[in-house]
Amino acid sequence: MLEAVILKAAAGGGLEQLFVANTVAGVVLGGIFTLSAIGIVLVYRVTGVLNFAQGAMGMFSTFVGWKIIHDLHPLAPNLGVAFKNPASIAVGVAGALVFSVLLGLLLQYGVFYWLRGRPPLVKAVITVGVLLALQSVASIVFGSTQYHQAIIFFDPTRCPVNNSNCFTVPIGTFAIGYDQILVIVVSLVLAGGLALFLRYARIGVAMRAASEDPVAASLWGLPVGTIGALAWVVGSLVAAIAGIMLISVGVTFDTISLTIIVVDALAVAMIAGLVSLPLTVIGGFGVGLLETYPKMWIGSPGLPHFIAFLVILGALLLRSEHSLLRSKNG
Amino acid sequence: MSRLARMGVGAIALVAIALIPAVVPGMRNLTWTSASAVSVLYGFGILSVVILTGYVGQVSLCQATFMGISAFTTAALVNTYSLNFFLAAVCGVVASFLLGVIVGIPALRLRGLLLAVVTVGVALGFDDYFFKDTGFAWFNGGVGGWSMPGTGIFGVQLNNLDYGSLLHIYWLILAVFGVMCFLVVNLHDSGSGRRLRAIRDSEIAAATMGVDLTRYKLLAFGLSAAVAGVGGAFFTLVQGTVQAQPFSFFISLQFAAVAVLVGIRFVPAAAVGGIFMGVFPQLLNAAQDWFHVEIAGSWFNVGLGILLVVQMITLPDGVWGQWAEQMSHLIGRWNKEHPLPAASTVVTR
Repeated sequence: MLEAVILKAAAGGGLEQLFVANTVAGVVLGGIFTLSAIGIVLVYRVTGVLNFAQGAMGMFSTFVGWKIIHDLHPLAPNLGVAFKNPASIAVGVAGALVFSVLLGLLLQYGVFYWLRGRPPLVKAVITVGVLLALQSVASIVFGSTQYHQAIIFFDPTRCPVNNSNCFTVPIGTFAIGYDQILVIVVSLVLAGGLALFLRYARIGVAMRAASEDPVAASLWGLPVGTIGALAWVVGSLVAAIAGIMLISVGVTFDTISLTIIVVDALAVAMIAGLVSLPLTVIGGFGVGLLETYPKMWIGSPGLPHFIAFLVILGALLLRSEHSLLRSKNG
Repeated sequence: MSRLARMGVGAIALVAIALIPAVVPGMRNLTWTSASAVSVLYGFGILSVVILTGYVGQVSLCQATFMGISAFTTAALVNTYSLNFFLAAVCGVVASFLLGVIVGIPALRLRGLLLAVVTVGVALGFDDYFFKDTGFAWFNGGVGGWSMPGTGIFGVQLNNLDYGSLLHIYWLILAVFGVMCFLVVNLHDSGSGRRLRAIRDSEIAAATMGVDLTRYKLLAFGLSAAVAGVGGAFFTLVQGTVQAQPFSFFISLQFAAVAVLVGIRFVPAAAVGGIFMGVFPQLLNAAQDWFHVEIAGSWFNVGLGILLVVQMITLPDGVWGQWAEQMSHLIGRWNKEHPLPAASTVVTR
């Protein structure tokens, strides 16, 4: 999945180099898993919906951004330039984020608002339907091939002639790209910001109240439906950011790879017990590293998902059921 | 309707379905026979969801994986050891039964949502790793997958090369499907079935009544996986090739979504759902040819997702459940308005 990152990172050979390269790739991947899992945890806590479509939502928003860059920008005829040009990327990313907000609102007011009080499983099955629909629409509208141009935030050809590594930070004999640092920073900042927001901001406290007991919260005059919409919007936004980050570090860019990232995010969410944001961050980086290190010995593209499955199994069997699903609003 | 009448209607429907690709003009060709056969195979997948989720209340999003295990085992045995297809198919079904029991083990501790998450992990883990990785070429046949030679029984050709032979396969799997539906309907009212349904309604209550939770949960997972496995084994024969794609994560999700859409607690829903899944994309493709509009079969999932949302909001019991309820109302009313003559009046002299 992240062969490109590893190749980019591994300047020389040797096991030590490979280890560092895999660590970087794993941390980058972990940052993306964290972002995705935050969306799942937040939406679950506030609305009681376990969102299997988290990856699909991010995938769709990412493709909307891709389409905007591809079609609408003045530089569009020259795709090689358009996908590296900062202005065109900014327009595309902004479009993707706006779309993700709309998607979140649509899901809350078009679907889940009408399913209040239904069993959690029913809502989860609905997200399966959402996943299938989004993935199909995306493959119809955007094409189901694997040859979509990736967004390149830091184009090495813009470097001065004498320094081809201008967008990298050297660590020892090793160089980390700005794009990789960007992923790590964005995921940490978003996770931290969200945790602070939930703890101290008035709306954040209201969100926690709605997640603890929706009936009591509405008796206190809290607009539970609007709070749910906010959770969906934030969840959809982080999904979109995760999707854009994912393609900017060179993961296979098609409708399926971005959709099934949800299994890694679910693994992280299980480690966090669907509740804890700090554990989500730790678990995210942990799963990222765990899925990347075996690549040093086994070069199988399918292995990471099997590892994610093992993580899910381990996390669920080691935790007591009491600590899981603590927020049991349905 | 009495039980016997329902069985009769089911049998007639099955015969009608069996005759469609044989008599309906325009469908007497390889394409439509293949679509019909695939519908029945999907019917197995949905039937397995009915057993596991509808009867026992255990959610699984990896039924296509059970199908795949059986299909790959069958194909590997036929290709590597030149085993007779039917023997290999039995081995395949046993393999998926065993995997079902293994997946059932976490279900002893986990319920509902968390079990669903585990099965998503199973589906993706197997789909991406065991079904595709070249390291398991002895199992998944390497890059191109396996190709299946046809087989025969009692001198009847069973392969997917010509219309007649494929029609034989279709009839064979439809017969097997009918028998399985009959068994599953019977299971519903048997002692074991009552214990399984007790687990669905309340695990704690069931355990208090003396139901062996471990045994019956594992049994339910094994049975459901085996039913899916029968479909998987025949998949090899209908398709002629075995690759990871028909058993992917997305097909598992479709099984669950279609089963919920049609009515997860009803056996006939499996047949209806299978036809929906197998024939509808084909119809969309045909419509594309007739109207010269771009309506590819991939719109199926879009429709499925939207229908699922609408159905969940308006018809919580599934389409079949709603229909069955209305029918029983109508029949009840008809019986009231046209009462049978009382016994005493009939026997006068």
